[in-house]
Amino acid sequence: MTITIKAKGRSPIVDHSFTVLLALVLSLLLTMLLIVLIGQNPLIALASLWEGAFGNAYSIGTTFNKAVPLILAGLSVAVGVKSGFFNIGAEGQICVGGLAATWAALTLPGWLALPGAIVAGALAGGVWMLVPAFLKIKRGVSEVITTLLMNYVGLYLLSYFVHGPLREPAAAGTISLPQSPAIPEYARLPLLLPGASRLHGGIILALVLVAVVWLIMQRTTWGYRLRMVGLNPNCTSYLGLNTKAIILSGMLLSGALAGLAGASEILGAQYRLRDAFLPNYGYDAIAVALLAQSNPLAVLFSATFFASLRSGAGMLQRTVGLSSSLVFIIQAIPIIFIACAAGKELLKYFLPAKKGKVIKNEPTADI
Amino acid sequence: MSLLQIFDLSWVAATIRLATPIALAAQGETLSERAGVLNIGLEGVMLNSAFAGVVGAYYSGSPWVGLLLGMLVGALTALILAVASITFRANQIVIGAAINILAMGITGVLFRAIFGLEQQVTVMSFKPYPIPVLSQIPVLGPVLFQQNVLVYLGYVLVPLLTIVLFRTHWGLAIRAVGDEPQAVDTAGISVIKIRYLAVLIGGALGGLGGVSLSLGQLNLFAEGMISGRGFMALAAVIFGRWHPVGGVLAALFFGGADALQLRMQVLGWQVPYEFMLMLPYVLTLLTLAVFAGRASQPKALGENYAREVR
Repeated sequence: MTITIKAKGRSPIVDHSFTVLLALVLSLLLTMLLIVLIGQNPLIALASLWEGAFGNAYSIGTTFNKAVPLILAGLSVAVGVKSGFFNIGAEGQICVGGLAATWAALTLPGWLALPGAIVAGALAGGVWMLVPAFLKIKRGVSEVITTLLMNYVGLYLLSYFVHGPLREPAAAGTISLPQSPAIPEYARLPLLLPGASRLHGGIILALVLVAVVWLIMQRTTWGYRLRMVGLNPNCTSYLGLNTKAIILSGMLLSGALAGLAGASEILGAQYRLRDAFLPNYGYDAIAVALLAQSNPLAVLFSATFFASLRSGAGMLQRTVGLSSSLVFIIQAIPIIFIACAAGKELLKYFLPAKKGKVIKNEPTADI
Repeated sequence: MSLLQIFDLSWVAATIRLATPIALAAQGETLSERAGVLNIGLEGVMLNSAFAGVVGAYYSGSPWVGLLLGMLVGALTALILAVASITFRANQIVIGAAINILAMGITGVLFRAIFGLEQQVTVMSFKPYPIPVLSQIPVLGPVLFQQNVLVYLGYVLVPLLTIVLFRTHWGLAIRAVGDEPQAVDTAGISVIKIRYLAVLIGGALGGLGGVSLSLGQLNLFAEGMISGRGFMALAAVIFGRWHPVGGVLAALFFGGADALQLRMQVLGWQVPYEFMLMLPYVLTLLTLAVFAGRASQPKALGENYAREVR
C-alpha cells in the first residue's frame, strides 16, 4: 500500500497543482541564484528570455513552432505512462518520422504529398516501436532499455540517409551539404500568418491530436483498456482481455505520435532533412509529459513552457551575453524538482500533514 | 587488401584506446545498476567529469589533479540522481535524462565563463607510459602495456570490482539491494546507504571514463564531446550482462567496431560507416532478444525503494 501524505480534505488536484507550483518556484529561485553567481542580473536575463519567447508576433510564432514537436512527442510519452510503459525512444522515432515524411514529400505526387508524408511519419514512428514492443511482449525485455537503444539506431539511420541516398545532388564542381533537397511547396504545411510569423499548420495538427488523444484515453474502450493495463496488467488478463495486444496497440500509438513530431517539423518548419534535426526533443518530451502528469490537455501547456525556454535562449545570448547553454540548466532544474515532487517526498518538507495524520508513526521519513 | 592489413596491431591498439572510456564508465554503471539504480545520466556524468578534468589540469598543470577533480565531479553529478531518486523517490529515468540536459548546460556555461570564446581547450594530459618488463613482451607488450595510466587503472579496476561484487559481503549486499531490497531491509541493512554508496562510486567511475576521454585520449575539452559514449556504456553493461568483465568485453567489441569504422573511412571503403556506428546498439538489442534480459538483470533495477510500499 502506498501511503500518501495528503491529509483529509485536500484533493489530489490541489496537491498536484501545489506540487508543480512549488517545484517551479524553487526552480526559478535556483535559476536566478545561478545567474547571480555567473555575475549577471537575473531579472534582465529573465526579461530577455521572455522577450525572446513572447516579445513580438514573430517570436511567438517561433515559440509555438517549437512547441509543436514537443506537444506531439510529449503526447507520445504521456500515452506511454498512462498505458504502463516508458517511451524514452521518442528521439529515435522523431528521426525516422522525419525521414519517412521527407521521403514521401519528395516522392508522392501533388495533392497526395502532404497527407501522405504525415501518414508516412506516423507509420515510421510506429514501425520503430515494433522492435521494443516485440522485445517487451515476447521476450519480457524492459522497453526503457530498448527504446533508448533504438534512438541511436534511428540517429545513425537518419545520418546515413542524409549523407547518402537522400543527399541533395551537388551542382557541378561543388560539394553539397549533408541535407536532403527542399521538399516541394505543395508538400509543406502552410504558414498560418504569412508575413507576421513563421507559425505553421503543425500547431493545428498538434491541437487536434491533443483533443484526439484525450478522447481516446478518456472516452473510448480502447483508451480505458490502455489505462487499465497501465494501472494493473493482471486486471485486464483476469477480465479475459488480450493484455499483450493492448500493450502493443498503446506502444504503436505512442510511436506514431513521436513519428508525427518529426514529420511536422520537416513539413512545417525545416523543409529539409538534416542530421539530428530535432536534437534532444525526445528527451525533453519526457519532461513535458512529467510536468503535465501525462494529462494530454496539460501537455499543451507544459510543451509551450519548454518551447519558450528554447526559443528565448537565442535572445539570452544576444542581449545579455550569457551562453545559450544556460537554457539547458533552466530546463533541467524544473525537471528535477518536479520529478522529486512527483515522488511525493519533496512535498512533505513543505506541506506538513494536517492534524490527525500522525506522520511520525509512518516509516516514510527515516528510510 | 588482405584482412591482416585491416586487423593489424594498430587496429588492436586503437580498439583498446577507443574502448577505454566506455569500459571505465561501464564499470561504474554496473555497480550502480547492480544496486538497482539505473543511471541514464551517465552521459552527463561523463561530460561534467571530462570538463572538470580539463579544468583541473589547466589550473594545476597536472593531469592527476584533473583526474581527481573529474572523479569528484562525477560523484557529485551522480549525487543529484542519488538524492532525487533514493531520498525523494523521483523517477530514475526522468532524473537521468535531466542530468544529461543539465550537464550540457553546466559545461557550456562554465566553459564560456572560464575559457571565453575558445572552441576547445588543450591541456597537459596523460602520456603513454610503457610498463618496464611487460611492454617488452613481443606483439602483446606494446599493445597492452604501452598505454596511459588510465588504461592501467582499468586493468586493476575490473578484477577488483569483480571480486568486490561477487566475493565480498559488501558485494553481496549491493547485489541483494538490486534484486530484493525488502529482504536486505528486513535483514537490518540500510538500503539507502548501500544505494547511495553504489551510485556515488559509480559516478566517480563514470567520471574516470569521462576523464579518460578528455585527458587520456583527446587531450582537450569541446562542448558535447562525450557524443553518445555514455549511452554506449549503458549498452555495454547490458551486453555484458551486468558483469564487470562482460562490460569490458562489450566495450572492447564496440571499440573494435568503432576502430574498424574509422579505418574503413581512411581507406576510402564505400561501406556506409553509419551502419558500423549503429552496430553496438543493434548487437545489444539482439543480445536482449536472444537472452531475454530478465535472467541477469537486477530484479529491482529502476525501482525506487520505499519501506511502506510492500
